[in-house]
Amino acid sequence: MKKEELYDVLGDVNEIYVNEAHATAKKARSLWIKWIAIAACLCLVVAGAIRIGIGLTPSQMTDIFREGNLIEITGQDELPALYNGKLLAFNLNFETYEFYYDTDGAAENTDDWYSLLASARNTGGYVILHCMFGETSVEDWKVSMVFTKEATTTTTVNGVEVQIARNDLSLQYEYWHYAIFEYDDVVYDVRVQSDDAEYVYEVLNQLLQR
Amino acid sequence: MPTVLDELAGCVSGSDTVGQTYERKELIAAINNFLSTLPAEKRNIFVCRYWYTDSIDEIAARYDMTYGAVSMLLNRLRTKLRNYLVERGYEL
Repeated sequence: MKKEELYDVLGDVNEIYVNEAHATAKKARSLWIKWIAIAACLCLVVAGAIRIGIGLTPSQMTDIFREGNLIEITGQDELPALYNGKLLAFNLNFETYEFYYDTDGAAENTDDWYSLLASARNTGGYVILHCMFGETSVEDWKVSMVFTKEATTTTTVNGVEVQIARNDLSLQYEYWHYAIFEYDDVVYDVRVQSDDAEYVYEVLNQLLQR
Repeated sequence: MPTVLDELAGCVSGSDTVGQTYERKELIAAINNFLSTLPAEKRNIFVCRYWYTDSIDEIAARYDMTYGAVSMLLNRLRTKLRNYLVERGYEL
């Protein structure tokens, strides 16, 4: 099944739910979505080409995707975060220097946490992670964590200026490198979960090979 | 908008042969059943995003949530939808 087909099927969901969702200011589904869908397919083709070009083995890579101007490369499914030795996150998602995760448990009992929402923002020198407990926007308890981050460096890879940084999560797990570069008027944000800086350059070289 | 479609790509495999084997009406009914299992607010947010193609910012403003909370909720709902359909025999 293609995502366009799923989108098409979603267009026929119960009208009651549709009306409920937009009690006011309804708007029709845009006809131009079909053209956008075609453009999205082209983007996927580009992403696929990049994926092939990178040539990573499955053990090195669990996910490479392009979402907007984002390419994400992870070396494992989980990017755990710890607080006082407790596992906070088992599925940490990065979104342009902001990342969120949720897990199960109760605030007062870290063994039984549930509906944990965390967000973090890269402040330039370090990352502060705020954790919220409760349903979505309900904040029951908050804790801050500080992850040190090494200084960002700017270099040139195959004629393209690249900004590279590494988040040191102070864990025994692999470091998280990220690199930002502009290529053909598109800004790419590449994340590589590896403690090997040379591997980051290897990925960049393959991404930016002319 | 591309991002809406890209998000839905996480629910499907990209194969164009599998979907053809399923009755469209059954799939719609399954999705409606899935939506009926959701709390009203979460269902509304899902519909806002994938029926009205509202931006995450618009949804966040409408429901007084942060961008991240909406993004995370949608991610969770997509995973739930995928699991829900897979559990019912849909090969996505």
